[in-house]
Amino acid sequence: MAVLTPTPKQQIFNSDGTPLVGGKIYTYAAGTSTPIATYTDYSAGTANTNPVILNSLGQANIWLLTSASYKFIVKDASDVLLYTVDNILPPLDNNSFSSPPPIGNVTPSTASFTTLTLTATSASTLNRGTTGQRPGGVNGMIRYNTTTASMEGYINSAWQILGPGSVTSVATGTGLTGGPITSTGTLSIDSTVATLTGTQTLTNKTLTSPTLTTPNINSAPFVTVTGTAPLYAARAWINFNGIGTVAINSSGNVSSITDFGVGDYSVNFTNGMPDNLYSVVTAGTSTTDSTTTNPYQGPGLLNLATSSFGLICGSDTSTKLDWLRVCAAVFR
Amino acid sequence: MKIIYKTETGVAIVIPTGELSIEEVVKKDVPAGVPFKIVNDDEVPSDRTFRNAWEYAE
Repeated sequence: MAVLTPTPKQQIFNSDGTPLVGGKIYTYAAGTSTPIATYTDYSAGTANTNPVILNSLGQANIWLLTSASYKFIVKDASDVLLYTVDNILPPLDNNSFSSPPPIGNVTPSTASFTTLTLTATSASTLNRGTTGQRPGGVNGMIRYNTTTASMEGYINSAWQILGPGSVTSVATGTGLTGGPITSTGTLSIDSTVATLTGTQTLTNKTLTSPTLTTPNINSAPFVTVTGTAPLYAARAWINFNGIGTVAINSSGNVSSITDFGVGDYSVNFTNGMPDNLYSVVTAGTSTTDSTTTNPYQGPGLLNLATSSFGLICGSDTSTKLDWLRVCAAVFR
Repeated sequence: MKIIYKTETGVAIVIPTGELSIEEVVKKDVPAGVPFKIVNDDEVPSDRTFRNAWEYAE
């Protein structure tokens, strides 16, 4: 496509068709009597006289600023008014967009482009306004909402916040159940619709009635249970040797055992029990692992306290006896 | 390390599991106000034949 060339030089004629030699063009801001300058060339570096004096051919170089609109008053060399033309707007050309672009500022106030590429490393300012000033939405619109202090876009027939920031609402659907969030809110994930995948890290979170399917604890598989009977774990446990040099073989939540004498011990909790109504399951090996050894008595239980409990190991008579292996587990 | 202290009937020997420091075990598992000693493991006899006759040396 091509367009007609603009008039390279302004040329004014008398009513008889002859050039207006020595004619005068007074230039003002449109609609006013405020003189504003015109220029001798494109660079706008040298202002014309005001009025502009036409040469022997009735011509003059008159360059206008693209950021202004003008009123021209044309007179002859004797200052006799010939005519006035108001609201003269310079035509837009490619260079008119160099800085600043008049789109949305002067004229036109709206424009449509096939694509728009902004190449500067600076930034551009989009439309801004309150929630109440939102226009009728069209999918694809973006603006800055001064009420919510966030960028927002019209997506799927609704205004939605763009990018990171404070979540103020959650759109329902696709497995998410939410709604407006003020200071706090709840986000629920419908497990029948959406599933969290990958490794999730929950730090200092409270899980209320979670259902854990084949969980691992410290990479070790946790118990596999069937049925609906609840599962109770031991609150403390110990395995120690009471013969010779008394030694603890292994334990959990036990700070120490106290050896009070032959076959007489207490087990001291690292973290105490909530009360003394706990159950202690005991077992042991008397003096050897032999199956021919007579049955011995114990380990017996005494002095249950929140901080400790006692164990008594006996012989096959009524006397106490050091045992090879004493085991106990505490449930509450 | 073990902790020994005197009881009404003889000597009690506290054997820590290692979950707590020896100082914490003393504070928690030795009766308050009772004199005690922290001894090396080899200072406690392994022969318990006369265990109930052991005495606490002040």
